[in-house]
Amino acid sequence: MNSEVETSAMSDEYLAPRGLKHFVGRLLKVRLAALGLFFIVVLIFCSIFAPVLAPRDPAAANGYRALESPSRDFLLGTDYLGRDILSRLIYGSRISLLVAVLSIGITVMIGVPLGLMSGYLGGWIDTVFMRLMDALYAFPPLLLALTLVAALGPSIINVIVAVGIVMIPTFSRLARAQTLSVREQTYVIAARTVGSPVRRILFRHIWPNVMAAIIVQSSLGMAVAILAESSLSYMGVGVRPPTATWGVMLAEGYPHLESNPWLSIIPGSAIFLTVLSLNLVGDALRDVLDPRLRGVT
Amino acid sequence: MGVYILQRLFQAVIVVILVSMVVFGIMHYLPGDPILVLSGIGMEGFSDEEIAEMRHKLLLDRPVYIQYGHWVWNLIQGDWGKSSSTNYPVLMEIKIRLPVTLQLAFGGWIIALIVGLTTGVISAVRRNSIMDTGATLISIFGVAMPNFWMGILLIYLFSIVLDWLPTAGFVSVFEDPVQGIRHLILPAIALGFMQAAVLMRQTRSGMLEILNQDYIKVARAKGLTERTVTWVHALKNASLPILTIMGLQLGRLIGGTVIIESIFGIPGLGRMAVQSIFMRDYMALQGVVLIVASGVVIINLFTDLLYTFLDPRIRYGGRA
Repeated sequence: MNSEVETSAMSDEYLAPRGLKHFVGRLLKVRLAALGLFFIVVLIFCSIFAPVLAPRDPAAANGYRALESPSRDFLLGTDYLGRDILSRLIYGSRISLLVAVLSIGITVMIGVPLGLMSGYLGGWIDTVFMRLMDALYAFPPLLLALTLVAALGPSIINVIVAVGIVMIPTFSRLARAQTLSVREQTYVIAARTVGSPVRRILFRHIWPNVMAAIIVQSSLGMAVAILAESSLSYMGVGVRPPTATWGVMLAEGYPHLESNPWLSIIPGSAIFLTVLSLNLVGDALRDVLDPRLRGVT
Repeated sequence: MGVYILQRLFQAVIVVILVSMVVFGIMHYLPGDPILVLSGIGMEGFSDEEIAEMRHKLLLDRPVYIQYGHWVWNLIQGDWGKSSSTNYPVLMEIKIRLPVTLQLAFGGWIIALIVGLTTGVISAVRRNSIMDTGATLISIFGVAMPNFWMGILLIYLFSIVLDWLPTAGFVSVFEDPVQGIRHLILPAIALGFMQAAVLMRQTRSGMLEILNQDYIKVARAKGLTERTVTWVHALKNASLPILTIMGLQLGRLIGGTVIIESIFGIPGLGRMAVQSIFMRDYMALQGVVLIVASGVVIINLFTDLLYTFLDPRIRYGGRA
């Protein structure tokens, strides 16, 4: 029993050598990542306090003031129905973040246990799971998400489920690869020798060492989820109008590209900056959490 | 090597079978009555007896594995069903649209290759220079740039503002090379830019590793020009992992055509998939998804085999 306590303590220590403060400090030293993190914090703030921050109701149409350029009344202008673009942009951040967080949650809850079991148990379980993942991996992500949303019906929940399923192969493969490298470590062998059950070994001893890679991948995965949601919404098979999402705003702005380009430029910039910020934070997290990869890219 | 190739072929066949099962599973468990999906028609105005007869005709009263077996048998015989929106056989539609999607995907691939490889090599050779910083920043932005937004920006700049290139449409490069290329440039850039950024990162890191090797110092000491050292000796040895990325990218590019074809009004497989969703034409959607996913498996197989052929360590691995 004592050995188990010691080994898990070792795992925890490996993950966070000098605590959260030290970790955040190292992360913020990477300037671009600090900028990205700042943008994400602002975005989270906007999405939480959208009803307070948005100057107008995002769905309130006003035909007399359609397609107005940015002005003091409408800081980012109005769309073809006279709705305030700034308010729709702020409310749109809620959908993007919701899809990003929940779809990653689904992916991690399904993909990671599959990868852990596959890597640790091996044998026929590994073969079956991994061939299934190979099959899912063969589908171009957007096409699979499109097919799943078509099958499930267009709604925000179904978009979250579809995007979550699409990312499962990446996460399970990563978890499996990490598990394979940890499985033969002395502390795992020790836990196995003292008769720890498989579930305990997986979640108490292996998971803490796999977690760093999963956290990094989650940050990058959120960017993929936001791209997928906006692509689906742009094509009209994701979240449906009049709900304000950045993809829907882009699609609604496209017919007016010649006369009112900002209708496409503003929501597109929001998607771009969010994805960029998540990528920058993900890259920095990889450098901080896994020093072996530092400077590789 | 022979055993390895056979193993890879066997694995690819298994994956294609699993892909077909996933496609069948998704279509089979669509919400609503499967008759709607398989026949492509509504059930209004049909009596219970007629619906039961249709159910029997479409084998819907038989166990799932028999339905799957029958479906696969029909696929092998070339019967991929009939599109309910156009009334043409799905396989015929795919044959018409596949070359369009392949031209677009190859166009994107060539853009990714030219931009990614060139900037990656220059970035590595001139490490820490302004060019390196600029190329690295472009690659960071490129990876985050949604391809559909890139497409819209390109249309705005080059079609609307400058009026240099057409906004939308498609002309085959084999029928009219000049117009074909003019129509292909913008969608190919939109499709290939993100992949170029990924390839640039990979090329840069691969080249940096190789440029520090002893044999590169020997090549320089022998008096070879820097151009020969870089483009012949270093790039050749850095090319194996790059080749893998390029192979994987071709599969991703084919998937990426779904949205690019919608923006640029290109009549390829991606647009067929999106249109079939709106028309509730599930036979057509099933056909597109199956052909694209199987294509990706085949591309990945060829990449693996090419890698095996080019890398002597793998080729002679069995005899060592």
